Amino acid sequence: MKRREFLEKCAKAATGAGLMFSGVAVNVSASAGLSKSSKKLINQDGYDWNKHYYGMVVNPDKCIGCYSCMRACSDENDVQDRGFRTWVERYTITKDDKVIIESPKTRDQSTDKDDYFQLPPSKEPNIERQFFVPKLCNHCTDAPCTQVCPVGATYKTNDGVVLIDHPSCVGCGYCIQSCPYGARFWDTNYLCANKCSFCYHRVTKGLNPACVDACPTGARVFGDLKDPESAVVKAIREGGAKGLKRSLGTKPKVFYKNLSQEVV
Amino acid sequence: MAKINDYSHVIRLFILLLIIGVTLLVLRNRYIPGTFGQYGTYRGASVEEIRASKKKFIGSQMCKMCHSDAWELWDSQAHKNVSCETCHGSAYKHVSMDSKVEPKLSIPKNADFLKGNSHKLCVSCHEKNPGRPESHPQVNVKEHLDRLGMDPDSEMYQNVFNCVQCHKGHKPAMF
Repeated sequence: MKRREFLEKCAKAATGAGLMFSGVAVNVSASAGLSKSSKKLINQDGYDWNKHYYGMVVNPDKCIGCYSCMRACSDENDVQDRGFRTWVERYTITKDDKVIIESPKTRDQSTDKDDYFQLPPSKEPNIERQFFVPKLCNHCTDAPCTQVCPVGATYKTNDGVVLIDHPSCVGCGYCIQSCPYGARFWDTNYLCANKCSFCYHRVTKGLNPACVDACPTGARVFGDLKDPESAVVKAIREGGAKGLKRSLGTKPKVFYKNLSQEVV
Repeated sequence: MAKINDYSHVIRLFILLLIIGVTLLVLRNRYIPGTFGQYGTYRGASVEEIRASKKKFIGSQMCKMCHSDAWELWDSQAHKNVSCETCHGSAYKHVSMDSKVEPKLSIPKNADFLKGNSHKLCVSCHEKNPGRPESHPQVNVKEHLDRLGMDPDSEMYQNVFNCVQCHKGHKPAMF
């Protein structure tokens, strides 16, 4: 009986192994089939995301703190007053070298009916210098936020824009914690993380983001880093453009000119 | 060492692992979205979904088509770098052909805001503020009103007579 037994056992083992590995084989072949066809973005209008790489230059010297960019962004991206995809910070340096950094409040955070969204005029008595710094998601080349998402709900596109897939977000908040620039926030309406998307639906059609169009002084310059004639490349070539928190190695793609040393 | 005669415990373990393996594979196929992994470790379909969002701001060039007089004036004066929609609000509903969405000629929402409430809109750029460069036109509103004999808290200033009555939005310089 030894041979029969042995053959029976082999047959059972082979069936078991076959069942187990067939599942794997199906999965592997399915994903291989997909990835062969689609490193290029599948779309109807011929936009090829491999040909573009978007970046921005911000000049805080030109910013007058009018908050038009925040209003425009809020309108364009249906954020209202739940949070800010882009915001303008106010830096006040007093005569005794104190640095005060203020950020706009959302409606939930505000204490007075008029002090949300726009910062009320500063009541600080001994101002030496004050300036505004517009901030937004830096769409880092080495973004920490895309690395920590446990469900793959945030990712960097081939054209350099970091996006959030809202239906997939499970709300763990890890990405919000991981962003060193504070660009992400928890959206209480859609119950997911939210942040600036560089108005991806606009820029992939050749328009500018809403904040860039709304800015009356031209403090924000947007464009394709792969296009040597674009406004953003010209602004970078003028010199002095650097990203925030460079020591963290995130390689941000939003560059600031004439950055004062107090800006974090 | 003792010789093992009965391997049934090993067989049971393998069967258990087999069951777990197959269950995991079935669940994976069922619950992970089909386009996941298409371009990277994310749901590939979301890129087109995000691209498909409707834009709300249509740009000042579109306004020229119907409002050419106002546009020509605006383009020749100091506010030409302030886009139409920055003051008048996003225009996608105003130009929408879909009459079910909104009446075709609805005024962009901020235009009403301007007539009564220009004192809030205008000061957001032009209130005197130490954070603004000196070259930017700005005024201390309280002093400005005192000079004109007006009270900032009055009903008159809030709703009837404020910035736009003297400083036209499209041609802000008075002289």
